Amino acid sequence: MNADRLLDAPRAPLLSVRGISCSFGGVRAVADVSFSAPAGQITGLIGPNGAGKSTTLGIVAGFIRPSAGTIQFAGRDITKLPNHRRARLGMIRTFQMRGEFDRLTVLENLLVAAPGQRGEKIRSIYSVRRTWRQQQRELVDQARDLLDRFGILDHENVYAEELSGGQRRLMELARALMAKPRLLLLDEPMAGVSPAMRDRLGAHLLEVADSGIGIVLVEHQLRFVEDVCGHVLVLAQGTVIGEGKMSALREQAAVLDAYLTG
Amino acid sequence: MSGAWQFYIATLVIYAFVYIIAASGLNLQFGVTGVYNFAFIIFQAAGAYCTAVLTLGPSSANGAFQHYIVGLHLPFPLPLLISGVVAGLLGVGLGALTVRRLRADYLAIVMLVISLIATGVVTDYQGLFNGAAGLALIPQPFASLTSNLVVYDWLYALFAGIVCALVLIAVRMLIESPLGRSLRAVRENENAAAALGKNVTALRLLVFGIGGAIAGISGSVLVSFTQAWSPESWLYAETFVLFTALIVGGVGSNLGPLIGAVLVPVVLAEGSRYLPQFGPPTLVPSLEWIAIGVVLLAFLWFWPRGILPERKRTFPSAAVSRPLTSQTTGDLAVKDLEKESGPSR
Repeated sequence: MNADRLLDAPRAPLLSVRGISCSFGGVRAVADVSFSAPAGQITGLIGPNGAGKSTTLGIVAGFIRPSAGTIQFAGRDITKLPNHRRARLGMIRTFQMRGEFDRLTVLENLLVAAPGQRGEKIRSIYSVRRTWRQQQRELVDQARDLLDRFGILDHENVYAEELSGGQRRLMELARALMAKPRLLLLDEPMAGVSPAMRDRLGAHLLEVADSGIGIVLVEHQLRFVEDVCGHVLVLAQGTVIGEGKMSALREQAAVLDAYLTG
Repeated sequence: MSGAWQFYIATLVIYAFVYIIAASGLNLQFGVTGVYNFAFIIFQAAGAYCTAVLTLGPSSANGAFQHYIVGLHLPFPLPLLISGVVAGLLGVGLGALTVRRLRADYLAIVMLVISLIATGVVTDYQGLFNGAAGLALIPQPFASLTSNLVVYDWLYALFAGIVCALVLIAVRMLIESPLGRSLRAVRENENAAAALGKNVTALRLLVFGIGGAIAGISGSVLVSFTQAWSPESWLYAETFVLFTALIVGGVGSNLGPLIGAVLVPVVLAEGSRYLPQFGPPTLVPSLEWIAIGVVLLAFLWFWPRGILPERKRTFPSAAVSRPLTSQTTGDLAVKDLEKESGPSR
């Protein structure tokens, strides 16, 4: 068995979710959902309102406790790990609404995300030689490069609360990359984004996936999902009712039913 | 200036320093991290009682007219330092009981109740800190240096000023560090902070501890000067005087606590002393509280960010302008990240 494991290890998916369930006050939000997500690919979670998509994402990221099931990330069981520990392993989520630090500037929003900052330790804050300053200068450069790439460098000194909806999404994505992620969990990254910005954001996501980062995203805009997602799961009433390529899923009666009857 | 006036002014200066120390501790908790500690005053009380029982000597002294625990006679500055540590540990302890499960307004309610319970316990359990009568005859440090009371008061004001400056510098270094930035991130959006790997509970506990220690130091400095301390000295309303000071001065800003602590508890509260007496004898002292409440509401309504608002942190742009063309080159963000993560660029 050990030998099998060794052989399987390199091919194991980055994220593997097995049989997770979750109820809120008697309502089963997620029931026995299983899926996996590889590195370097965008996996889409779609479904009508109340299908359990965001709850699934919340369970994977450690913000909601499942009543059953296991979650493996990079070959490690993380089912019992608190949310911030999952983030430190490289699993970074974004939020459907209000994911920003409103009264921090855009640049500061990114700086918060940088892992392993020396200046976060009391000891180095009060040591004679404050070695964190050099590291911070490097992080500021990295953050500016990311902001430049996402076209919001002009806004580095603007409070995040002053950004438009689309700019917030760009900033959140840039901030997630600042955290050096291995897997991004994006909750409706296109919500409130203008059509022009949508194409740009889509291109950025494909670039990110090409660089080897896994992405799982919840999204309502099916055209966008078809454009960027290599693999799609359809959820309805807390269970997976279809899985595969978006083009193929469009043909399936159950999927159509779920969307039409909601 | 007459001796009495000098004594009065020096006393006000010492009170101002004590309030500034306490307000900067509260600023770290409420202003920077967004923790509603409505029991803040009990940490000042803890520091004050701690210093008292560490300097008074055994309970049998002075004809055993007051009862208290511990009863040591430690030399300066040990009582000051130990008071800070004890209040800090009390902060971590109470924090561990509350911040893990309670958020914002619920934490505020529980802390307020804890403050009331603490007053009740200390008042009714006489063996602890001499009950409602409180402790008196607490020795002053370095009293042997001078027998002139006015000179001593100015000397003590200098000492309080030094402690105040050290606390302000230490808090500023913390606020302006990456750790301070993470604390502000927790204040703005705890879920997003957790999603980026910040241990929100640990950060809140940290400021409970540090803020508690600072409050304890303020209590120690105060009680060594007033030489007396009782439950009347730390009623829950004192916490709101500090909150008002912070909101008036500027929540989250470095110098806000300083401005607020001078304006609210010292100028506003002390100013009522000069009002002409009218109406029933308790009217003017009550007006002081009404005035503080009105000022609090006025600031929340018209100037919610205070006199000196939290300043925006910007970073100097790179000395040599970097090419801003990467958007068109199509490089991958992550490749760049990896390239840049080395020690030198």
